Amino acid sequence: MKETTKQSVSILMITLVFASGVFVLNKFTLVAFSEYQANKMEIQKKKEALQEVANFRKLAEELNNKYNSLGGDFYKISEAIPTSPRFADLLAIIDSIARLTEVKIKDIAFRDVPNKKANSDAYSLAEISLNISGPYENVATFFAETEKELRLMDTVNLSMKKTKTLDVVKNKQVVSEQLEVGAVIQSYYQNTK
Amino acid sequence: MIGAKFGFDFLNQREQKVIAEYDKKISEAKESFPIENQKAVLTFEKSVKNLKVLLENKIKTSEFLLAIAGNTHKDIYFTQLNSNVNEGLIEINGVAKNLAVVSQAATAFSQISGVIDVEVKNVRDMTSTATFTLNLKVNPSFFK
Repeated sequence: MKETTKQSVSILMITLVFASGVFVLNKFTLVAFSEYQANKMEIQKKKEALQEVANFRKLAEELNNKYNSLGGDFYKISEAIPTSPRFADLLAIIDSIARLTEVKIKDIAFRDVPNKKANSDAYSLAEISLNISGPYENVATFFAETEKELRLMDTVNLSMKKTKTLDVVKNKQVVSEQLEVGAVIQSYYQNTK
Repeated sequence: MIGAKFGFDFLNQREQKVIAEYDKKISEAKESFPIENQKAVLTFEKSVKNLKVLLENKIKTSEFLLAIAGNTHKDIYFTQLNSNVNEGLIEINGVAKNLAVVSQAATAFSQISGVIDVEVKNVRDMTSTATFTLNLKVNPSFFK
């Protein structure tokens, strides 16, 4: 073989070895390396997920211990801010207070104002609009009683107007002063979503 | 390079086993602490937080009515009272003996703790009486 032919064969062989090396690197080694990296990331994610569940569990245990020590307060908290508007309960509460304080309910309406923000911690509103009438003292007591209720209620709007009414007492017509009251009361409930 | 490929394959197999172990642990943890319990705990935690804030900001209507009644001039009476917590405003319409009494009543209201300003509006002298509108601008603490 001529010297030049030997050199050409050698160059060809080196090129072939180099090309096959590049082929193996691309086709197998790099793929295996990518898979290795992906697995590492996957393991990291799983570790974090496991840690999250563990944290959740810890929080639940802490809350459980805390609330166990609260005893009856656990019930009070869920009554003060329930997980739904519970308008029927609100109606019963308002009616009961009105009877107790001798205030006349003329009309009452309810409105649900849900908090629609996703993953929000905020509460939603159960709004009560009502018109009542009665003497000032009774009306003042009515609102004082709503403040004492276990179900949390805040009067955010109030409109009081003095009127005179004609009542019949012992077959005699008596003019008495009354208050016509319009109020918007906000109650609250906790979102569960 | 071929050696490296086999090396990575070996490591990958080992990591797959680790992932499978983690999956098992996570599913066991979730089983022992169901999603419903997690939701209930979260909801209750939110309720407690919100309740704390709501109680701190609780509106006491009876108390502010009492504060106004206790600081009302003896020679005026109200015909209408409107309050708006969000706007921090109380509007009082009434009748007074004369204009001097309206002025004294406005001054008395401005002395109430939490009242920022008292605006005297729509005063009308009706010879023997005077009608008036007073706007009390109050800070949020007034209602609490």
